[in-house]
Amino acid sequence: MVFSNVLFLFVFLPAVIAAYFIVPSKFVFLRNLVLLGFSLIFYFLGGHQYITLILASILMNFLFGLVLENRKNKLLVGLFVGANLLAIGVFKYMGLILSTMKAFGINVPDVSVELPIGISFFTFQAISYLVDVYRSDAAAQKNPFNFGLYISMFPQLIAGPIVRYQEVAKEMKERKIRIEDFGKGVERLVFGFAKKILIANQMGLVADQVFNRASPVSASLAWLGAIAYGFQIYFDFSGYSDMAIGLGKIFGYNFPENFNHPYTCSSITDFWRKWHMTLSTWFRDYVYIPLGGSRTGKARHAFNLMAVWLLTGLWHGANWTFAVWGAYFGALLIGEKFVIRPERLGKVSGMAYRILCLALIAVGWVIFRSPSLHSTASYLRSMFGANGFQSNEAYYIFAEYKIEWIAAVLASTPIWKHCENALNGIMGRFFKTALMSAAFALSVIFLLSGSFNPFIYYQF
Amino acid sequence: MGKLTVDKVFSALTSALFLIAIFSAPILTKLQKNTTYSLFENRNLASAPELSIASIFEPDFAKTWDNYVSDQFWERNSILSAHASINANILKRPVVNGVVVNADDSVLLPYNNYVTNLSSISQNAERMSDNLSTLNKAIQSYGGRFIYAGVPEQKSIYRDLYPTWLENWDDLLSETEEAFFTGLEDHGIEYVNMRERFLASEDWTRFYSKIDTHFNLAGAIYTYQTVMDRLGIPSMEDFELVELENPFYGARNRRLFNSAKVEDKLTYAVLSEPVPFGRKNNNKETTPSVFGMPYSSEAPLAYTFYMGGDIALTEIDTNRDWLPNLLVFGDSFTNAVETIIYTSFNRTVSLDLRHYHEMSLIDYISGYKPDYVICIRDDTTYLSFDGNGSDYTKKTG
Repeated sequence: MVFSNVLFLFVFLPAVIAAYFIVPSKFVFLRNLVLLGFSLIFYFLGGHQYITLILASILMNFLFGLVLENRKNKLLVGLFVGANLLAIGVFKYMGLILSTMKAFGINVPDVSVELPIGISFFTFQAISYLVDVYRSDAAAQKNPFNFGLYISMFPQLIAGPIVRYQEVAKEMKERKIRIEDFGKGVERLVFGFAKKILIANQMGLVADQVFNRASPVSASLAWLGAIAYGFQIYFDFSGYSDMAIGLGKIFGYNFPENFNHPYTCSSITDFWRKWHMTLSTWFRDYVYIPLGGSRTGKARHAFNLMAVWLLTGLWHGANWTFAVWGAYFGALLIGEKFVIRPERLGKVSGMAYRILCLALIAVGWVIFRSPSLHSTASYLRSMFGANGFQSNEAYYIFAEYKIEWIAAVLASTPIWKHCENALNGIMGRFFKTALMSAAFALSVIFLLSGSFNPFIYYQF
Repeated sequence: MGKLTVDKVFSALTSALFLIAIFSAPILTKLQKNTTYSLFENRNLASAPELSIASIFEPDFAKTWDNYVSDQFWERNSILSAHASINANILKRPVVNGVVVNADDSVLLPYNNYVTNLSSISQNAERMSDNLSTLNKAIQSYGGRFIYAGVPEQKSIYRDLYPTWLENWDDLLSETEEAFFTGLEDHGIEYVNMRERFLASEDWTRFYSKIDTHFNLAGAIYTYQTVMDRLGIPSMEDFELVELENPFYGARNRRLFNSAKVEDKLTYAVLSEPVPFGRKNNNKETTPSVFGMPYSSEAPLAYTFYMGGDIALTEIDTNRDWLPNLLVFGDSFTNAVETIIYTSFNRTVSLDLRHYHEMSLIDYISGYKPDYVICIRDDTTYLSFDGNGSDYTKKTG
């Protein structure tokens, strides 16, 4: 189940809100139990065969945490993290490992393992928890139900943001839900929902139309397809994050922000500071810095960057295209660190570099979206004119989705934040409420009318 | 209680509106009677899934319930109609739900995919004419006569109305038509190309629906008369076409939930001297009528008005054994033709091989031995090997 389906919005959500708020606010633990129960139902409805996996992960990491609090042993934490990596390795990367071995002529059995939803997210949360307990950055959770809630809390269970234990530990013990927080949660949820339904899904139709074409694609069409996919993945994922943050607020939790208008970036480095921030910081804190980070020689620094980006790529999917995608960004970041130095560019060259970065990011999305390196190469050739430049289809796509293109460009900038600041008076708030109601109504209309509704990050 | 602030008031308002929406929608949905069929979408709607311990463990449990809630959602038709209307009239999309809406105000056309494959046309035309040649020989073997009536689909005949930047499949349709009819000629198969006939007639637009894939009854009758003329059989001339007031849900406007401005009506033929007949559908006696007359002038009608839509086997007997017997087969374009063609024959049998799976077409014809066999298919299916274009020596399905 995903947030943008009818069953979630009109059956599951009212049920969880009713059950949660029937419990008086002073019984925080009871409210946690309600959330835990519904989170497990949510996970069960998404793929009942893996409910035991998440329960095992909860139990295992709960016990690991207790052990680590008493024995801060490097070997132990390594073993415990290894156990989590083994689980993700088996369920997520087994297919890739076996198919790669086969490609090298090694005789291995055919094993098909279905990817349990959200495994990358809840495993990373568990690893961060164990490391934080080991480092004494967090105290181990003594209540298995509260720990279960931390791992499985449905708003961020299947697509993040990746929440550190310390960020919610206090709220698990005591939290107060003010009407202002609830209202802000609703607003965030609705705008995330609108981003997903009204922009991401429409851009997804464009991207699919172009990427799934069997025949050659003109340059104009190829660029439109790549840009559309860039918008799709941004509004899909940031919309989901907004909904998760909004739901968190409704239930009294404050989840970390995950996006900060990444397409307004001044460099590739800046882009990754603004995109999927909880994953970037996770890799920074648990991989990059332990490897030595930037406080090493140039060669080692470059190696650290590349290692982190290869892992980031593979985190996104068990396919070598994702490793190439990670290596591509690793190379670009190394280039920025040691050659280009965007912070030293002037006004004009800085602006030109911003545009170049957006083009490079679009190229990155092509690698990310393509099912194989062969189709990546074929698509990139189209982008650079191998099949001509102009096509009627590009014109059609532009005309058909003109409103979405405009909305996507505007919503990629902080313009809404500026507007929001100006909407604090009575009229402003009235306008905002009306806008929110219209966005919600329109999104429900589009949701009910469309069959095209996949959440991209659901698959990771 | 804290101080009442603007923030607090509007947060409460926002929260209340949202909660009212998410709590009232399922209640209203539950109170509303379930609908089993959507005329607009031409499909059955999901019914309430079984709820049991076993069903909870079904892999599609959540999806099945989501489909059910979506299909039975409160005021779903109004919501879908609003969606089509917003897209067509406010967002001014050129294409809505697969229908070209803002290109021409006079007709609704379908969106055509930009990717067409012309490379296999000649090969497929050869294969199809071989197939039809086998049928032709089987019919000729007992002294019967076969003729293929090729009719243009609505999007084909109106292809010039597409804006230049939308795909009208002119290359595909023209090359297909040429290769197909050349193949028929090479194999000595009789045919009429109704596209040429329609375009040669005065104001051919009167023959085609503005909002549906098919020709209208006038187009069907013109096809009937052309084929009869070619076979040398007198055709029915003495009738009057009467227009029905009822809203017509064609394949195109139906996809727009009737929100388009383009309208069209269905007609039926009133014969000056009615030809009495008996009718069987799939071997069962049924009401002897060819038009599904509505109970009221408001009841919406679909193209199934003609002959009751696509039926596997239809038999019409006029009990005039001095007249020849006929077998007609093809897709839904046969339906409107059948409402008049029976008047020229003793017995008319109609087969739709998409639904008729009891025996092969050639086996059926060998048993029935009709004097005439007519195939009516449209130009988007000339080279389609499914259903009515499949191997005629084999059963379909």
